[in-house]
Amino acid sequence: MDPKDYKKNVAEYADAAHGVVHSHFRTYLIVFMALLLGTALTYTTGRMHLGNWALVIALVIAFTKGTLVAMYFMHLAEAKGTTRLLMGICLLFIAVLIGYVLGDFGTRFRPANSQGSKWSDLPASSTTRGESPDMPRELGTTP
Amino acid sequence: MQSETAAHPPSRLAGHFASLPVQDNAARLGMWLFLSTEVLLFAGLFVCYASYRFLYPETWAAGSRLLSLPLGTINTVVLIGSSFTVALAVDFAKQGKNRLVFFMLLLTLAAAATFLVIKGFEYSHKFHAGELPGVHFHMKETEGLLPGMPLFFSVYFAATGLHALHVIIGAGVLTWMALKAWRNHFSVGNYVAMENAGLYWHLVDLVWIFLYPLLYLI
Repeated sequence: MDPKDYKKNVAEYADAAHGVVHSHFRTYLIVFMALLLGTALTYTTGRMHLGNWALVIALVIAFTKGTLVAMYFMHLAEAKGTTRLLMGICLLFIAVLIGYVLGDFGTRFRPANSQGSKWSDLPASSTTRGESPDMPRELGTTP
Repeated sequence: MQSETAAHPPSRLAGHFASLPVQDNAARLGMWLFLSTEVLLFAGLFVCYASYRFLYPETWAAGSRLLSLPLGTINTVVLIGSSFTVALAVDFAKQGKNRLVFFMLLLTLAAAATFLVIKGFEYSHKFHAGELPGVHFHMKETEGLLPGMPLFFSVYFAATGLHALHVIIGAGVLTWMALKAWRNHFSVGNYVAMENAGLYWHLVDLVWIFLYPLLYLI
């Protein structure tokens, strides 16, 4: 490749080859502080015994922290549309997958669920011996 | 890539790309594509987590209390700090400040080592208590054994183990980048390798941001 073209590419690569590359230090420092704050917040709320809300609050904080990392540390905020679409679709399909699986457990004929679980009326006879709760003891010991 | 003369910098542009920015955008998109497969790899474990938690909510709450919250929290702070130093390393690479890139990567590698040592302490305690995955589980009945507890520790070890493996691989990639910085490799138009290595490390941090509250807190 011609060196002239190379120089042109470098020039168009950054705003300019001389000095116009600006530092993101301030942004990164703010994001870092926000992430520490989020960690403190999730630690505090996680110890407050909020019952069912604990999961919701923890997930909201985790998604906020995750978005900060992805947007600023990973530059998704200034990325092209394809990249963002890729991650968006990825998360969407994970949500669909979790939805399917939990929908299955939640709507099953109750005796079909694992013994001792919240969705079964059968006691867990085997778990106190440290065996798999999915396997009834009678079946587990049959030779 | 070796330069022939000092006056003519070597081109790292492959023939099938129109220009360097196009080539680097392709590299970036490729990295994101790989990261999305990494997300899906961890997603399998998150689905396991969701289903077993759905089946055994009380066990999950009790299980999280058996983990060391202080150690988990310290590791969270360590990883967030390492993400910050990697972000700065990328920023310095963009400006061609190789010395600072090298220094930031050293800090990151120190954080990675700290994380793994702490994880090692946690694991050794779990091994001692018999809180092990799969068939190796042998927790004492008196220590608050609940139905589904073996599943909690299977998920705990699978998720944190896979994550720790990623920390090790990430540290390897960052060591490689540190060597590049040592050799003054990065410059204003040439930093996409550091950028992609950084993306990998941030993903490792991102996974932990979710694992920490889900395993240690709730």
